[in-house]
Amino acid sequence: MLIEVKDLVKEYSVGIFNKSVVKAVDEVNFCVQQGETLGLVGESGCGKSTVARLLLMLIQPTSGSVRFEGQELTGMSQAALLKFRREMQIVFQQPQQSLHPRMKIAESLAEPLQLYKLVKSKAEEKVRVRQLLDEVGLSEEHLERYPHELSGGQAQRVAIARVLALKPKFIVADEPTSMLDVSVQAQILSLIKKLQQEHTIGMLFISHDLEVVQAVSDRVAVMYQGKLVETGSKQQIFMEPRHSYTKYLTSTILEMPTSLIRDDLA
Amino acid sequence: MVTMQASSPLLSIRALSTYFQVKETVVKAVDEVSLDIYPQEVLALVGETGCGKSVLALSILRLLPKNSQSEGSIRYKGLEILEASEEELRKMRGKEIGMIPQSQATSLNPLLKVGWQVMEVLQLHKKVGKLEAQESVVNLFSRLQLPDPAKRMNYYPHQLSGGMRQRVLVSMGVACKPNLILVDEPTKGLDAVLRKEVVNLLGEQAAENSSSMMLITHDFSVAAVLADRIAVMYAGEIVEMGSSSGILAKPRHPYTQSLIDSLPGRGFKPIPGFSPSLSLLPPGCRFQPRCRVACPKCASLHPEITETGVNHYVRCLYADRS
Repeated sequence: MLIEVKDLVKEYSVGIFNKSVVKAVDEVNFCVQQGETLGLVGESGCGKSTVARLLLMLIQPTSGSVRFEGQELTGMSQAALLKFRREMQIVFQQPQQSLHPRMKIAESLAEPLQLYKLVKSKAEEKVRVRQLLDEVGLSEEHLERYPHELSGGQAQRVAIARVLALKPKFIVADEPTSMLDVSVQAQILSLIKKLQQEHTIGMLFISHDLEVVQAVSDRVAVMYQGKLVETGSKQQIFMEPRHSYTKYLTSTILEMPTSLIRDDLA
Repeated sequence: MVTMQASSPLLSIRALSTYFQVKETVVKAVDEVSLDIYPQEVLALVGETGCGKSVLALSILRLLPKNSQSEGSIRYKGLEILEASEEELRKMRGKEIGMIPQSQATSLNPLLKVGWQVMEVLQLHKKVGKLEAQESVVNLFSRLQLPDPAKRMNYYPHQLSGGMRQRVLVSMGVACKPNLILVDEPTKGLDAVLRKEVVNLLGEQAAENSSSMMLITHDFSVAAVLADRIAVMYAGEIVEMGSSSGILAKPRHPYTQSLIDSLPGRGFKPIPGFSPSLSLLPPGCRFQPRCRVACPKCASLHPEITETGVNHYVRCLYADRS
């Protein structure tokens, strides 16, 4: 098993005297296998992104366990985590904000390679950066640009290339396309799927968009107010939802009137 | 939904071009756009980021920065907006033509209570007293199903959730019951539950006030639910325009077809390449480098928009092919 999460809890104290406690994540259990995509859906504020940050140990859980290839990550020292950080990566929602505004794209792409000493010389670094660019569908003209000179879709491609540079086994994609146009969304998602298959990467795909989750996931977990209310195969969640909240969520898909469906697709 | 050809248009745009002066170069963000909006009609303007949709809306309200210039004609109820004085524009904005801006997170003043911000619109246009304005705002909030409206009036924007802020913006846009509402990307970044709610809300508001609406969106599924007619924009130009049912059932322009096919529920097929920069447009047809049916002629000839069916307009050399 690639990722195994057991009874994961994250509490935050709120109020002036930290008297009351909010459970942002409440006894969450799930697992992700090699090369598999687990979709995590829920409304804004239900705790999806907190789960992402807990998985990667960007924040510490209150209790519970996160295992990566059988190794317990909770309670591990920062130094010991460094090795796992390379293998577990994240693609964020806001591509332009997740890149350093003062670093050229070439520098941003080279940084992870240098940090983990994955290249031995400048020449090798150059070759690898070109290779990464090619994989995500960008060209050399983008290398000398700054993040603000890229479109949202292009910036997200750079973020994906940075993740790929480290050859991770597991990726969390946290709403990677919610700020992008529908057409660009299709480009980015098909890119993520293609790379995932080529490199056999396990993925937790977080989104509030049910149609997107349906298109990319193998299994789906539905989250509501910090709890997972239903987990199942894609077919089961979308065709025969059992929990009332899942039924409610699937009813919010904006269906185009059937009379408007194109003849060749109907 | 109404049949629109019976009456004369409420807003009539002819050959509108809007330019921006950026350093030494001039960029044409809106290129010879012509369209009409009829009373009580919802027209959706669909296109990708950067195609000029928002600039077109802001041109209508003359709210663009100083380095811009508009040419052509925008007639609203007999008033030529491009030649109107500041005074005339001030009377028109909010009262005749309302706008619901794009981002609920940044469009409200963070230092003012939301109730006050909506009252301001009413007091400016309707010569009503403070108490009366307050009452109207409570009314508006409760009509938009904002919970506990009297209390919410005294909240600051950061104390409201995204959905509530969106409803405050909607209430500002419709406060004076304008005849035409321009709505800019009302569902961007919202989750599925909120998206459906906002879409229903807009539909109800337009119907209740019998207003016309120009709905700007990149999302065909939102347009399909709300719009009577759809205009598709690409790189500053309108490339296809027609009834919603016509466009969705039989899209003629390859760009419209690709855009619909890229929807998650409609095949999820990405359009290759990127939209062109407005300062570096390809020769001939602007969509030609990404088009799946382009031929050599497309790279040399810039197609005119032509009528291919009843009130269906397409800008493609091969509009009749499909």
